[in-house]
Amino acid sequence: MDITKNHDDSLTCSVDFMEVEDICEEQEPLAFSNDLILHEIFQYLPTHDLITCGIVNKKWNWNSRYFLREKRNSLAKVQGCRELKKVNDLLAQSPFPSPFNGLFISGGHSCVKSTDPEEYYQYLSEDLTIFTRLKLRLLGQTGLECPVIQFIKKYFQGESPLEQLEILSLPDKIYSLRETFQGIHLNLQNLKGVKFPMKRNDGLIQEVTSAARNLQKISGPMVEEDVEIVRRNKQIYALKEFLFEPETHAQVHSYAQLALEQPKLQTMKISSAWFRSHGDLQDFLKVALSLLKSSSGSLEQLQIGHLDMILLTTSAEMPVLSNIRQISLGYSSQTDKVEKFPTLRRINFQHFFPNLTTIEIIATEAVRHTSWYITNEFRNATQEFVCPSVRKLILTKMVFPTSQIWFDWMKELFPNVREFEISACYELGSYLTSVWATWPDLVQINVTDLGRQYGKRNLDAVFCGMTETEIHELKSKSEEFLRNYQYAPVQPSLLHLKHLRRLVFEAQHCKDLLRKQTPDFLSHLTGHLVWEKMSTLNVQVVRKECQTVCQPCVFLDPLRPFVKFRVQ
Amino acid sequence: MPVVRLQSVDGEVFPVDVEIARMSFAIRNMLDDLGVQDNDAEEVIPLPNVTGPILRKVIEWCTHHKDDPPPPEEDDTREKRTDDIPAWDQEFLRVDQAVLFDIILAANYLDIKGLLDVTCKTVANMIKGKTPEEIRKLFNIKNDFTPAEEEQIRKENEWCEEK
Repeated sequence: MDITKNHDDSLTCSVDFMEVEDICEEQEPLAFSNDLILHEIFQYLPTHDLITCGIVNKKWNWNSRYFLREKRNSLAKVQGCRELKKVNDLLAQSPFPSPFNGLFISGGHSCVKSTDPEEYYQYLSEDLTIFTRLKLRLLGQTGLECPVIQFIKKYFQGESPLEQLEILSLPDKIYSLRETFQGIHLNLQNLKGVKFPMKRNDGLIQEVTSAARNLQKISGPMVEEDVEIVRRNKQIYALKEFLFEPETHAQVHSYAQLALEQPKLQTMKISSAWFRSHGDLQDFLKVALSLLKSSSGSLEQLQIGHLDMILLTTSAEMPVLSNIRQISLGYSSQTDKVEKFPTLRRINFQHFFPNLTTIEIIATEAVRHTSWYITNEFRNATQEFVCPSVRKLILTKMVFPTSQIWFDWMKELFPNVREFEISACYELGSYLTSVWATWPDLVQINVTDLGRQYGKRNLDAVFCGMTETEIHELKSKSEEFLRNYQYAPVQPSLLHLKHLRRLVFEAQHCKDLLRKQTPDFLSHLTGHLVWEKMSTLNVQVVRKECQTVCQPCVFLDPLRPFVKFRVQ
Repeated sequence: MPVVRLQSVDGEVFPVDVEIARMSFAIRNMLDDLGVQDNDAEEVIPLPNVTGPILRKVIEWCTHHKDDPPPPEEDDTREKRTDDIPAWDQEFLRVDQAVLFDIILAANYLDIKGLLDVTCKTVANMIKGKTPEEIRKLFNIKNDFTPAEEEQIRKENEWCEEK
């Protein structure tokens, strides 16, 4: 190595190539040797980045997996017996800490031909049986003698380690855990939290809340009868979710009793739909406000129609809900047409929900009797509000035509949207074009619920920003030609989104799509003309509820060379 | 305004308003333990883990943020935002990677939560969306997995439910 002194007193180090590796190689930052600092950094990463961090090196693996397990409650998703065995074998031979602390068991089980289920689940290693979280989506004609069912059964009896349980569904025509796991003596002494399924199963809430005497959190779409069961078990303090959508005046009075018990809800749905044809919203409003007040320090998610939102936020008693992160807002553009102004812009989201980050707009049918909700004072107000905290916009089941003006209003209301999700919409192309013209700084886009009736049109022209004619002409061109093809999009395309890092398509399992009845949702053209030119973009296809036998997923298959496919 | 004198590892001494110095919980504890009164202007607090240039940056940050309310306690089981770094902080942290990490170490050692938060958010933003190889390259991290181990990790990751 030679060191020479320069005229400005600085030193120049000249070394040969071999020495560079030994001496001058840059070191990784010292800060990364400190676990506490790594944890400080990892707390800001979403799950998919934490998973990636596990591959960087051993130290990052240990720390990111600790975070996934202990802080994010990451689950291993398995479908059926064979997969349970696979994940068991993988963990049994792994020298690394597990990235999961629970299992998400999904799908039907017509499974391993095991003559002796007992032998099968004894074979499963302790890595699986020490998990404390379980999420179940048992579908179809699940064979109750299936080894997986027998394995899960262990979590519900004896010295059950189970602390968190989420039930998405039980098998067909099965309504309780006792029916699912025949002959079981339910023992859930360690269970702290439970989430019940959307579909009501008589008996399920009763049996779980009775067997779990240390519950601290009960969630799921709870209605009046469920609340009564919880009340009988003296667990109102644990009630975290409630659907306030009374359908009689008597029900309103019953819910007033719940409000007096001051539950600390985390998730709530509010709907005055029944009153739209029965009038007199005063009692409804009073109880809704009481529930919101008692939950003002705990409420995180709210599902509500936009007229109910106007009704509440124009009340002088509406509390500030500073823990609300997500609002799902039922909305009909017809109201704006009738009123002749953008009603959403007159709602002061920023004041009532100062930490709101996600807004979901769910299209609903037009509501009559809007004057019950919209006062002259609201109508005549001139102030329009801005909500800068919202980062994620979700459009769901959008059916009404939306002009660019609507998106311009939305941009004025939510100027800082960086993540966009669109779900179950027919006119997907038109919404996508408008969205990326409106928020060019998007960093993530999720297109969900593809399959079935959605996503049956080809959208190459939309993604490439070309006309259909241009797309048609390019279809016969070679790969090499397409890779080198330079063009200027004639309309906003994905290429306009300079900050876009992640594009995710979520497809639902759908048998008829396997038979190639629909055009490709996107073809290799989008792959070559757009994705290959966006070097920092990560494109993923997630296929929900698909079994391995479903591969390939025909209408998304042309994307395979360009994207990562994942079954969920 | 009472002043304390902070001495970096390389001997540089910085006179700093006590109120600003007390934004560091480590210095606050030292002052309290030493029984230093507000008017003990000659007291020198040695900071053996922080160099002069980095201490200057830390003092600059604390001075700018001296009137900020204390950062709220947050639930660490959910992903936190990283897109809310104030413009001044973004400009302040437009520095070499080595300096950024030295500030992180100093913020951690001096226990200045706000500075640690904003610097770690900046690093998180650098990590987001990158592949393992890109992360290694960005930070000069050595891959200490064997190919078989890396394959095992990737297989395990495939089972993770991505929320």
